Amino acid sequence: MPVETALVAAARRGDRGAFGELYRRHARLVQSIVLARVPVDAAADLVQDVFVMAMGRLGSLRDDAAFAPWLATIARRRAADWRRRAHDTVPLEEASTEAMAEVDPARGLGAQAALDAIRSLPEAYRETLLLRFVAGLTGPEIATRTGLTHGSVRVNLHRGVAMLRARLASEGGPNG
Amino acid sequence: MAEREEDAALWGEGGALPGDLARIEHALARLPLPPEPDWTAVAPRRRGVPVLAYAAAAALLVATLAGLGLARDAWRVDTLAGSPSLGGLAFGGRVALGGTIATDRRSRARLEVRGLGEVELEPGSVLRRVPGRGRERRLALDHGTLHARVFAPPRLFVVETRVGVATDLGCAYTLSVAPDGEGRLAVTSGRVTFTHHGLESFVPAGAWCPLMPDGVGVPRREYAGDAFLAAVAAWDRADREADALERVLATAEASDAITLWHLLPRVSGTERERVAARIDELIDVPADVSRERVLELEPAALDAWWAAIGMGDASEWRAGPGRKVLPW
Repeated sequence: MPVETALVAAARRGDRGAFGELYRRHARLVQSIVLARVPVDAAADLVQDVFVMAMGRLGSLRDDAAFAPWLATIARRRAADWRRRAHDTVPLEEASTEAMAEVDPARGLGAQAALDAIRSLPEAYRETLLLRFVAGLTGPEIATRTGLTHGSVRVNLHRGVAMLRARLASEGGPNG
Repeated sequence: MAEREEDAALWGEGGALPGDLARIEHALARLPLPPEPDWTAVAPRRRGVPVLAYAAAAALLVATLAGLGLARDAWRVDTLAGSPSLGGLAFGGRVALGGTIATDRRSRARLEVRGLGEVELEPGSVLRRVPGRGRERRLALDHGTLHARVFAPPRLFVVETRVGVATDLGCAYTLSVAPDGEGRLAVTSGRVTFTHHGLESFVPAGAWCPLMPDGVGVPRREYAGDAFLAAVAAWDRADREADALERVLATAEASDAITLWHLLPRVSGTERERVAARIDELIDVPADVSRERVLELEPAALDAWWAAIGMGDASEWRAGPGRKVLPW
């Protein structure tokens, strides 16, 4: 049995250590999905919230191998819930932390600037790019987590990168 | 870099990302993750009933309630901690009119008051949906603590307690009631009117009033002076000492006029004269309103003094759908 399905099965039996391993494997996935939709200062709580919800709902997961897409669905719903309660009046842009505003002198771009640029894009490209650059997923992994076809993910990556470059160029960002 | 090589790198088929995308990836790698919780200490959110049985029961109840037209107006309940329980006319995580929400000492819940706002229920609380008047949305807090955040026109959201009724005027507040009826209403933003036996207390943001089994105390500022707060607390007691009022008046500052204003209908005779005189000393009361009219509790005179305190037009505190001006 692949390692991940074994972890999910163990977590379902109450093994908190196994659940912790699942958290470490998928926290960036959840963070990417949440960051595509809510401000950074809300994202941290929501990431933890998603996992707490998932822990309580493991009994409803029918296929242990589908844990990641199932978790991604919970994350999207939770983020949508948050936005609905905030009445969509909270902008995605918000004050950055000192660490996020810090610019790497060798590479000339801070995390906040990169995040702001990606989050200014249409939602379809936003999540795909965040899954690629924050969660470090490959194209096929993004397709599995999002339910998109491989073709759609390729298009989102290609067009999303083109728009991102245009956005950063207009703000004086790094050139390729 | 050729487009095909770039696409392959983006796809994860191998090869390095072009420089600009590599810089973006490197920058985003510095995004902090939230600290990992101690999973051994986390209480997972679970449904208290097996899903299939719950779904079957919910389906039957929905069919019934749909015929009664109640399903459309059922309010959603979210679990914030532990396992809140729904009773009465409640189904599928929603409470209809007549339904109840109960939290044990480890549970918290959030109730969406459709179209008006939301209420969070602390552990050890029981909250019921009860009929309101007209467009009013009404709850009854049997005991416990709730935090209300309302973004609706005034007087559409009402919470009953065994002591009295809190009517929202556009705000956020915390209402606590113990099983014996003692409690507290504290307003965080906006304002709330609390009604007890026809006597209204206007509680603005930054003020609170105690609830007692036999009544409700006068509103006082959260950050009033210690001596004044102690004097008011002493006056609140049914077995207050003879000089309790004098100590309230002596320790009051100008910003405490809101408390003194609420004392006017709660005292009579020479005591009322002393309260009115003290208000007159603390703030600039309108010259065209005679002291006699205030002492007679004439509504227009009291409203004028309320405005002079800086609390705005008193009619905004009273007016609302289906509400009459209550006599003092």
